[in-house]
Amino acid sequence: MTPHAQVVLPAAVLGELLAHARRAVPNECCGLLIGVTSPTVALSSIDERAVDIQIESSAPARNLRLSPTRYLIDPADHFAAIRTARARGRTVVGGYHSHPSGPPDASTTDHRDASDAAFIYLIVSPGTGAVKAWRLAAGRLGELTIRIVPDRECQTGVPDASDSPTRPAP
Amino acid sequence: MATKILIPTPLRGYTDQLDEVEAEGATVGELLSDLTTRYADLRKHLYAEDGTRRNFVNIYLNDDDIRYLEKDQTPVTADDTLSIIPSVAGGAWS
Ligand SMILES: [Zn+2]
Repeated sequence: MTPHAQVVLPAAVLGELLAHARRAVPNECCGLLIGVTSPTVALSSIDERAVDIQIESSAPARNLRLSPTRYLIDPADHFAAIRTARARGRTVVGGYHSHPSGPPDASTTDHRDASDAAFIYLIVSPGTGAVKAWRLAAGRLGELTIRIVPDRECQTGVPDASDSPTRPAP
Repeated sequence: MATKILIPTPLRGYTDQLDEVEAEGATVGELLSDLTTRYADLRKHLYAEDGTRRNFVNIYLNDDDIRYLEKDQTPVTADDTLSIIPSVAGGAWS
């Protein structure tokens, strides 16, 4: 666990993730998260320095596994999200998926499939509305603190921030 | 002839945090070979020990997945952009 790293999540985006998760029941839903990581330089290694990950919008993706216990983000949707992010001067900071019948804790599968430390994994539980954020640290997914903010507080100081509507679910 | 390659967030740790790099080659395969020579740490993330590309690595040339083009033999020019898209996967319990 990296206690100083914090994920800033606008309440409206959380609402979108949970709505997506509920539509997908009984299967898992998945998608990408677009935003800003600051400071970027601190991402070279996972450590105790403060790294804020500001999520600004979500991009729903097709789950190629169509399964209640597995997900695989359609790479075409990932590619589209990367292009959307770049066009706005943002990056894909991570991905999200749902656990339709369990808590939002990283599973054995999630640990095994997790990639580099610069990518965050948000998990939502459609039943309870619970959400947790995870990031790879020392070979394991460690939990990050999430700060849910009203949309107007999610300001990054860069123009053309979070005012673009996210695209609807496929 | 250098062609632009876009590096996704999870792989930037192996390209000095650059989100965009250049490599040389006349085909997709040559470009990727040059890329992983320049950034050696990237190699083990893109290729298995037997030299085959890992199946969770997706390669797009401009708008198209190279699996639907000529795969590694797809010709490239300096005007093209190659994108590496890692698969993102996982699941729930068990
Ligand atoms: Zn999971």
